[in-house]
Amino acid sequence: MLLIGGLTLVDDGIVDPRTSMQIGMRGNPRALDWLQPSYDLGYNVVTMQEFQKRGIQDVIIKTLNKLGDNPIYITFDLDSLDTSVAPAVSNLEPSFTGFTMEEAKALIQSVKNKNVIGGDVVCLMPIKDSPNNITSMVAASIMFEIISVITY
Amino acid sequence: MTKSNDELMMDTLYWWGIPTLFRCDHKLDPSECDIALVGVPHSTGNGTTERDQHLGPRAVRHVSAGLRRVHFDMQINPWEKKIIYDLGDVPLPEANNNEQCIEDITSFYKKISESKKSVVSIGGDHSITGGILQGLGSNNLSLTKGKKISLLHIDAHTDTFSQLDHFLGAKKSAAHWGSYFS
Repeated sequence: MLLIGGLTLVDDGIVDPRTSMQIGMRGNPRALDWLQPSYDLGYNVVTMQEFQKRGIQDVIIKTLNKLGDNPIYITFDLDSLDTSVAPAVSNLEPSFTGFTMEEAKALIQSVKNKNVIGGDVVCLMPIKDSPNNITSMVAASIMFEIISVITY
Repeated sequence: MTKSNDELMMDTLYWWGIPTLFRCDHKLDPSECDIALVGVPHSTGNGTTERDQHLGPRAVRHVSAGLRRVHFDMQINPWEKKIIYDLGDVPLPEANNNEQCIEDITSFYKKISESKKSVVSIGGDHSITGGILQGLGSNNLSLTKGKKISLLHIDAHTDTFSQLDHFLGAKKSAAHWGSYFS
């Protein structure tokens, strides 16, 4: 449990970090120990470089093992996608390659037989989008994947 | 209920009709649906870039009818298999007050969790996820029968920032949401 500003505290916890996955972290951070808070909380972290080194199937197997039979919530930040795929997002990380749509879809679809209670898609910046609204369409496509795994 | 080919064609024209999320019926009460869709037009939990992430739900509603398709890889038609409503946007009357907005988001999702429905949301900056999870986990996690929630968190950032207890003044911020409820 962590205190934020001395007032924010949730009794006993809603999320179990030890059965949760954080996948796709990339970019040159502000400090060398930027992953440490996640490790301290107990999250299972797979950086983008680790993802590329191990390959998607290996990461999916680990993900399914960790998530187990727990209720799952999918939270998808559009900045995990490559900047060429999703240019209109709020905190771009251009110095490392991000996920392709195929990789992102495979990660989401991997939990189709699990108990997915919900999900979200965040960090769309519409005023920065291309005239064809491609990032909004990508956001809708990711939403569609989450809706589909819940339906499946 | 199978739709005619003319209806199917019209349904997937993004510029036609009322732009709800994926052209789902807009209803405020989730009790009759299987899956609720919600917009969370919130942007005061980040602030490191231009403050326009509250425009996300509207932008996605503009295009999403064009993506009301069947899922070919999974061989399912979610729109026929499930009853899916667009519940509209979370009301955020104090939009410039991040902490109040997170509380408003929490209250909104608490009601959805009490109706025991799945919910898929479009933000909004990432601080919304903290509010959503607080709401879904309310009443001692009754939605999940007391089981803690596991996250599949796909992101370029961990969002467990702890070097400061605020992010440009936002406490339950887009950079902190991954840590304050664990």
